[in-house]
Amino acid sequence: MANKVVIFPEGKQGEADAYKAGCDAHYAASFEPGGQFAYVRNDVFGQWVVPFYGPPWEFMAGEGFEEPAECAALRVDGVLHDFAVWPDDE
Amino acid sequence: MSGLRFGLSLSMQGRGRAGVAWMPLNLGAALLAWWCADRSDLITLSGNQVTSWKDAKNAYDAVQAVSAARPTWSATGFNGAPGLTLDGIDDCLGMASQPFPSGSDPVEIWGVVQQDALPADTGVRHLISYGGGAATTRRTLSRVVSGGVNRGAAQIGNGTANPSPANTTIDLSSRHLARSIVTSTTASVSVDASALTSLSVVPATGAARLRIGASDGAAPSAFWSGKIRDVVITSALSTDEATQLQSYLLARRML
Repeated sequence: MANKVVIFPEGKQGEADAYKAGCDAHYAASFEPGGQFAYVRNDVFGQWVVPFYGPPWEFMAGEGFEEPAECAALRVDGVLHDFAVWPDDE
Repeated sequence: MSGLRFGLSLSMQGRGRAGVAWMPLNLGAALLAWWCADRSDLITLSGNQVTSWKDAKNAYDAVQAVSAARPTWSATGFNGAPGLTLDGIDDCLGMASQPFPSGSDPVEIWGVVQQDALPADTGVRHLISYGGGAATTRRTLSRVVSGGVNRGAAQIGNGTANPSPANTTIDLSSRHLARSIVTSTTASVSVDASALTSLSVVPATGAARLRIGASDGAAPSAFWSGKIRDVVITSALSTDEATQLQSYLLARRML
């Protein structure tokens, strides 16, 4: 599912977890009861990565999606990126 | 889908009869798994996100619980044919264990794909990866960049390293058929029926998990960027079997 990521500094795991929880709650209430939208993962630099709950992500193709204000408020400590650099297990 | 089901039934019952289209299910016991994007009856969606993709032979179920990491499915996504789209960021489907040939047992892995990553993006990207969760214990069918060109490749762990034969003649950009062949002593790869590129390797494949669209590591990486129409896993094929499967899959590239 095409989406961007929000990257939180290494010392902001709590904020990353809170953003994930907020996104999951909105997603479960709006689209998939009991569903999970996001994960929290370290990138190769030790920063915390959470998928962005906003465009271009959309639940149904062509329907669009506007980021909920309550979720936007939870990512003020993060930076929006097009991708993450994951740890390499090659 | 009723027409497809009818065709499948005929081909399974009337194997070899004139006028009955050949399909991978005709491989019989040699076919281990066939994830086919055309089989919408084996795909579970939430919105347009794929939560489950079952193979057509044994119903092996590749799943993704997290919405943001799900591929999407479209009936016309593969240049007008059905296909899954993976974003190259975090999309993948997985099985918590893998039932396919391990250790040094032979296997073939085939994929009808659209490869969208640019050559400037030089990271490895896996169409499929299964094994013990590490590079030294996995088997993959992958995309690599060599000499500034996208190439089809296999990565076959031998317990201490992962020898990686890569095709050298076909640019893997856009839609192709990729194939890897693993024997007890050799790993080979070809793209679009090109000559095989081979390396000597004694596989040491584990059984931890399988992922479509990413590595089989504990945390997925090396995400596929593009589309998938078919993933086929077989045991070692005879020349005739491989020729039939190759003909069938080449026609599904939607060129």
